[in-house]
Amino acid sequence: MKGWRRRYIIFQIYSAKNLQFEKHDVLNVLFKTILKLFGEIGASLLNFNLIYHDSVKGRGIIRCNHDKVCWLRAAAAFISDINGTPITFHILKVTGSIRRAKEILNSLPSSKVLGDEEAVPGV
Amino acid sequence: MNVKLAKRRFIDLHVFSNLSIGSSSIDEIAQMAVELGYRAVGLADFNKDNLNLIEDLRRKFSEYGLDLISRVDLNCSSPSELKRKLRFYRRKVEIISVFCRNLQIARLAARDRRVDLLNFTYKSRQFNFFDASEASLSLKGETALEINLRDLLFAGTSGERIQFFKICRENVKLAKKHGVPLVFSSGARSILEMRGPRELAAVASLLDLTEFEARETLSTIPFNIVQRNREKLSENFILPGVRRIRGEIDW
Repeated sequence: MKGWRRRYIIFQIYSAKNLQFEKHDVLNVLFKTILKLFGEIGASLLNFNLIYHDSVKGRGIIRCNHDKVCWLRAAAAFISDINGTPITFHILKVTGSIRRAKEILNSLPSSKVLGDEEAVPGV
Repeated sequence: MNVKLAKRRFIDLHVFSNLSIGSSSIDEIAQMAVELGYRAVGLADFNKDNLNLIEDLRRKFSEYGLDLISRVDLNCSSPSELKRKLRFYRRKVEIISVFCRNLQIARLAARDRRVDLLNFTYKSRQFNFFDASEASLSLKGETALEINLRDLLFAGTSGERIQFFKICRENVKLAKKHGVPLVFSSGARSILEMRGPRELAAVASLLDLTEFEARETLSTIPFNIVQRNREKLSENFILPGVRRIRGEIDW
């Protein structure tokens, strides 16, 4: 039998002064938000996990079921702070394989951090 | 056949900067909007004292590849005050939104063609004036129902959020039934309150909208409103569908 179809979601966390957050903080806030919004059954249907997190750049990859990406996006919109620090949780890209997700993550410019003076608007 | 589809243009029609009640600067807002993937931003900072800034801000936004949409939020206590403000602002800004704080204001705003967006409070059913009559008046007056997601995303308690979802879902259902256009916006007062367009659309899809309909509320519908108003504000406009053509025409 074919296994679960998954999607890999590349995200970026924007915060004032480019603060760094640990992986367990990000996973914790994500879990709490999903639980509050969709409940325990919803969380089990989402079948999500934070599989990679770069705390320096504030980026990472979340894995979830392919038909619940919309739920994860909605949950991302509801995340307004991590440990009391206001943030914006933005989803950059959704892919179908972990290999492609890592390729995209590595190819993103380092200036994609808010407040970086070298950041050039992607016109 | 290889057909390339046009990329969807998203717009956040309701953002405040530090020119009014917001806390972020114009540059910060423009930079964040680009990062999040917006093509246009509706700035709701304008009042009678700073209308002269619109063109300067438009130039600043265009440096970032963004389109600035000038917007005024009217919060009036009486119909006469609303009429007076509509007369003053209609030829000066591209979007006029009315916050309907009582039934009289709600009915007047819905049937007045100078109003573009209707806003309601979702904290209490008592102050939600969007009913079947309001919806049919909105349709005739070509006004759209705006749902500001800030009230939902930053609701204090779960009770408030549940109430918001409940009232909002009823309004969306009524609007869909009567064919009233829906517009979703962030209502952000700082850059960290701004959300990506697809994230906002995902929240909108929790209110009984399909994914396609939810994305339309953040792209095609607001763009159509802006385009219609820009046409009306142009000096060559005479009537809908009729405009003055300059220069000689070679018959």
